[in-house]
Amino acid sequence: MADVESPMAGLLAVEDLTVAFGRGSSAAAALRDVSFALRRGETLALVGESGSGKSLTALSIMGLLPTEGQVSAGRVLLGGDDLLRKSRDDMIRTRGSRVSMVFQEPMTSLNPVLTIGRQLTEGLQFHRKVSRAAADARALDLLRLVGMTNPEARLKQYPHQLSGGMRQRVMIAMALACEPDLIIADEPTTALDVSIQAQIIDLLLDIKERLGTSILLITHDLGVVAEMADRIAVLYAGRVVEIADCLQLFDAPRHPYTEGLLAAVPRLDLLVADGADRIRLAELPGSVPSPGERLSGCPFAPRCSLAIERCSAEMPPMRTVAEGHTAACWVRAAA
Amino acid sequence: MSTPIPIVADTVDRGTGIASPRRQLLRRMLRSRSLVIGGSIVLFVVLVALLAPIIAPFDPDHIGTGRRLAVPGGKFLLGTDEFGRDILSRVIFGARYTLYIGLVAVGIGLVFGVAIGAAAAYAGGWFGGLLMRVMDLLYTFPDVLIALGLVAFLGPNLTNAMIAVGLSAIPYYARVTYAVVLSERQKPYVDAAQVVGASHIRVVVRHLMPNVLPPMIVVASLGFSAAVLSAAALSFLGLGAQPPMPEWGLMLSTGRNYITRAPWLVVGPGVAIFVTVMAFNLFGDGVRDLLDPRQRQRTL
Repeated sequence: MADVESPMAGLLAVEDLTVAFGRGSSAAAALRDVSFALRRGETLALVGESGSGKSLTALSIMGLLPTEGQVSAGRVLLGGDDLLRKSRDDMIRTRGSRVSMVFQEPMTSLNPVLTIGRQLTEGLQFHRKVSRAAADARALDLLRLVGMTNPEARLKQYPHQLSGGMRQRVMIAMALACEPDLIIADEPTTALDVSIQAQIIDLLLDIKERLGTSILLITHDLGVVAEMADRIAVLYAGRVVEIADCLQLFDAPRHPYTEGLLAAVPRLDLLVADGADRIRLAELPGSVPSPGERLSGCPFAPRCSLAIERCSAEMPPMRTVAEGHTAACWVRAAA
Repeated sequence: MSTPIPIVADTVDRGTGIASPRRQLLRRMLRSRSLVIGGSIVLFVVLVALLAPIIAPFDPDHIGTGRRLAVPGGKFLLGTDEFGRDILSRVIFGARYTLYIGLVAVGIGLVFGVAIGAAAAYAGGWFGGLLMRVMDLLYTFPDVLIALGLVAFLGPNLTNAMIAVGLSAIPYYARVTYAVVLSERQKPYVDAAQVVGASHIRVVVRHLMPNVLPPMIVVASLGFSAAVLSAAALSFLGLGAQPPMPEWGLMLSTGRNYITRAPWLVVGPGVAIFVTVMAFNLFGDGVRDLLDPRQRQRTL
C-alpha cells in the first residue's frame, strides 16, 4: 500500500480498512484492506456494484456499523484523528459537526412527525449550543442555501408536505447545518427522477464550490460520477481495485473490472440505433463472490477474461500506473 | 462545471392545500360515529365528575337523607340505599373516583410500559430479549389476578388498588410499545438523526417517541376502560375503595345484599360502570380508525 497518498495531504484517509461480519471461524470479510484518501474540497466517488462494500465503507467512517459487523483492522483518519479509536461520546460530537451524511431515501430519511425547522435545528442545538432563535435563523439561511422556495413557510411544514426533490434538499441542508468538512453522500440521487437528479447534482456542485466541503460520493450511477467526481475509487467485492482522476478513469481504465463496468453503461444512441449500429448492452459474465468465500487471489479473477495463473493465487497490490492513477492487476498494472 | 450553476428550485408548491388540514381532521372526526358517540359520553362523564358538588342533589355521604331503601322516583331519582343515602348523588360523586382511578392506573401503566418497551426494542440483544420475556411471563396472568396479589401485598385501599391496576397493565403497554419501536427504529430517519450527532437517548426521546405516541393514545383509551373495570372489580371484592366512599364497584358490592328487595341499589352504579366503559371503548376505537390510514377511505 505504498502508493496511497500520505494522510497529511488530505482531509480524510482510509487506510487498510477491514470489516468483518460474524465472529471466529464464521467471520466473513465484507471490506478488505480498503485504502483511499480525500483532499480538502475534493469529490471522491466510490463506485461498484451492489454488495461491493460502498455503503459499508461510509458507515465505518461514520462509526455506525450494524452491531454484527466490526472493524478488524485499519484506520480512518479525519484531519489526523483516527475515528475508529474515538470514544462513543467523541464520535457523537464528531458526527454532524465534522462529518455528515446524506442518505439515498429522502422519502423516509426525515422524521414524519417533526417539522422541517425542528429537524434542521437539531444538530445546531446540541453541537453549537445556540439559542432557539439563532438556530431558526440559521435554518432559514440553510434552506435558502439549498434553494428552497418560500423558506419561512417550509420551516413549519412536515416532510409529507414536500416533494422528493425538496426533501433531499432538506437532507442536504441538515447535513450542512454545522458546516462539516466532509459530507458522505450515499446514492443521493438514486431515489429521485431524472430531472430532479440533475437539480440535486447541481446543488451539490454549487455547495462544494461555495463552501469548500469535501464530498465522498457513493453511487453506482456512472453518469452522476462523471458529472460530480474529481477522482474515482472502484470497489469490487470489498476491495479497492482502481483509483484515478475522473477523466483518466473514463478514458484509460486499467483494471479489467473497471473496463467491464464502463462497457455496461447504456448509451441511448447505440441502443436505439437502426441496423448494424444497434448493440446489445454489454454485461459482465458471472457474479460477485460472496463475502464468505475466501479467495486467496484477485476476487475478479473468476470473471476476468485476461486472468493468468498468478491472478487466482495471489492478490495483486495497488501499483501506480500513471500520475495519480493506481490499479491492482497482475496483467494490466504490472510493474 | 466551472461556472457556478444557479440553483433551480422545485416548481411544485404543495404548501397551499385547499382545505386546511385541521378542518379536514375535524370533518373526519365528526363522520366517525363511534368517536362522536364515545367522545360525547366521555365528555359528559368528565363534566359530571367536575361539577359533582353543583349538580348532585344531596350530600352523597349523608345518612338518612331519605327513607331507607326508598323506591326510585320523586325526590330520589335513583332511590336511596340501605342507609337512606341518595343513590344519584353517590353515582355522580362516584364518577370522580372512576376517572381518577383510570387516569392514575393508565398513567402508571403507560409511563413504565412505554419506558420498558422502548428500552427493550431499542437496545435489542439479550437485554431487550430478557426484558420482553419477563413482560410476556407477566402477560400470561390475567390483569386482575396480578392486581389482586399486589393489593393483598400492599394492603386494601383505593390508592393501592390504583397502583396495583396500573402495575398489572405494564406488560400490555410494554408489548405494544415494543412492537411500534421495533418497526420505527429500522426506518432511515433514525440513521439520519444519528448522522447529525444525536445520542441514543436523544434518538429515542426526540425522534422515536413522537412516532410511538399516536398508537399509544388508542391503547391508552382502551386501557382506560379496562382499568376502570379492574378497579371496580377490586372494590367489589373489598380490596379497593372502603366504605363509605361512593365508588361504583363498592356500591355494587354492598347493594348486592339487597338485590332481591331493592334492585335499584345495583342498577345505578352498574349502569354507570357499563356506560363509562363502553364510552371509552367506543372512543378508543374511533381514535384508532382515525389514525389508521387503511381505514381512511371508509371514513372519508
